[in-house]
Amino acid sequence: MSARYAIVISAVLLLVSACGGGGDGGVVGGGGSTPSLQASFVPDNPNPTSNDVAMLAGTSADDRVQIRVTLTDVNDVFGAAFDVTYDATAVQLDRWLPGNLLEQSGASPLYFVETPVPGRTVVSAQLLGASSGVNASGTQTLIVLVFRVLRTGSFALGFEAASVSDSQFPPQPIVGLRWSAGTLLGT
Amino acid sequence: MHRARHVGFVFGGLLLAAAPALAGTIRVAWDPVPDAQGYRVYYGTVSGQYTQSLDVGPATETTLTGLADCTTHFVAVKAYNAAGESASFSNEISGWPRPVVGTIAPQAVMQGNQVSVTIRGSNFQGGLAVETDNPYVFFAGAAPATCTEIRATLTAEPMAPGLRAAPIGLFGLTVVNPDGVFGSRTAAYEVLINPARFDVDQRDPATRGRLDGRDTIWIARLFAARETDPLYQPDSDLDGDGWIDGNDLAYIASRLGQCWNGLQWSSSSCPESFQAP
Repeated sequence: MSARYAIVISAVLLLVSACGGGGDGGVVGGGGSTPSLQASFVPDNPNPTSNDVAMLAGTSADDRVQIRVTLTDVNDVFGAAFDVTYDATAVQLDRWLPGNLLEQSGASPLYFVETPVPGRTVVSAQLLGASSGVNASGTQTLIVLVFRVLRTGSFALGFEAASVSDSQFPPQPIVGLRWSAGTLLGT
Repeated sequence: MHRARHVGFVFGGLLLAAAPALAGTIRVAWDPVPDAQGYRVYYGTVSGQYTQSLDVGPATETTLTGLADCTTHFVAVKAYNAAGESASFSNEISGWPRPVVGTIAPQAVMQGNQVSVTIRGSNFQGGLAVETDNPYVFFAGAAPATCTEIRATLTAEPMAPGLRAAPIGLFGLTVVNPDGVFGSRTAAYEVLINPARFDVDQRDPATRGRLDGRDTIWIARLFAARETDPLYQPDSDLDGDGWIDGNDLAYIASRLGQCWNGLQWSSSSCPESFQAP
């Protein structure tokens, strides 16, 4: 039985690494083909309150900017699923980093980030097999998405097909959440 | 004592390896006879008229080979010692050579499907049964069209939601003739994963037919539940191995953002609402 467990866990770990994530502390690396371009992010809701799911600005360097997807005062969070939409001619997803929200559980959270079509990134973040969710006390980060702007201008990011699920089985969508995204700037 | 006594037979049914194709085999065994130094096996295709014999020495079992397929063979044994052979034969047994399982067509079936299959081989008798080592695959109506071909209906579960899925992979086939003599072939056919089952959370009509985080969250919530756990849910055990594990999660995660077109998952199959903005 323990051997079987080892096989299962290793399969999952491989999957996670294949998704390209990493947890290097979140410092955005500079450089790129257009170093003079500066990226920044203007959130639609810079001061989230209870039951808000909001994109907030993280650090930025050159043409890359971190966007923190945050939850504020939401209880029993088991996972979240959403698409992030953007103008693929102006913006690229560079990489992603785990946030602190699910990591506090000790239950080996899993993140999947895929871009099946240009301009639409599908994000999934969840605990693994845990029988209870985590509480977002205050504003906590679910996942950090690092975007790169390709040209000057302002480019809207959006949430679509978005939900946060609790730890019941089947997981139930947590109702009453307000989702807000923002705008990427290339200057 | 120079005569064989109590020479009895049983047809052996213990040989698990398939016999060579087109070379029928019959395995026979008998009770030992006191004072016998050896045994001679007589056989032929007419009862009581044995055209061939084989001295097997002191062994009390042997496998006759090179027999004509789909033909009844009659076998009897005599014991011998220094004084010569017993005067009388043992009781006579008869039967066809052991069934030989060759190919099955189609060779692969997807979970949740029922297909007509043809099994080719030899020595298939009316009243036979077809068995497999996949506990969630069933062969119904198996009957020989000829002694070298069986027609049957193969069902790979789940045929309805909520039923345990047939494990995927290669599985063996066994054909059992009415006399209990059987032939087997390992890795005879394959059960394929059914990707139509990947959309495990279909509660939201807006995302039904699309793989996204709702589906991975569903599997993640059940992670490590095994068949005996109350939380185990057959519809989430995609590969049918009795566990809800990383393999099931990987099937979905590797297709995140893709939509079902009736045959496969692809991003180009998604409706306008899930295409590029």
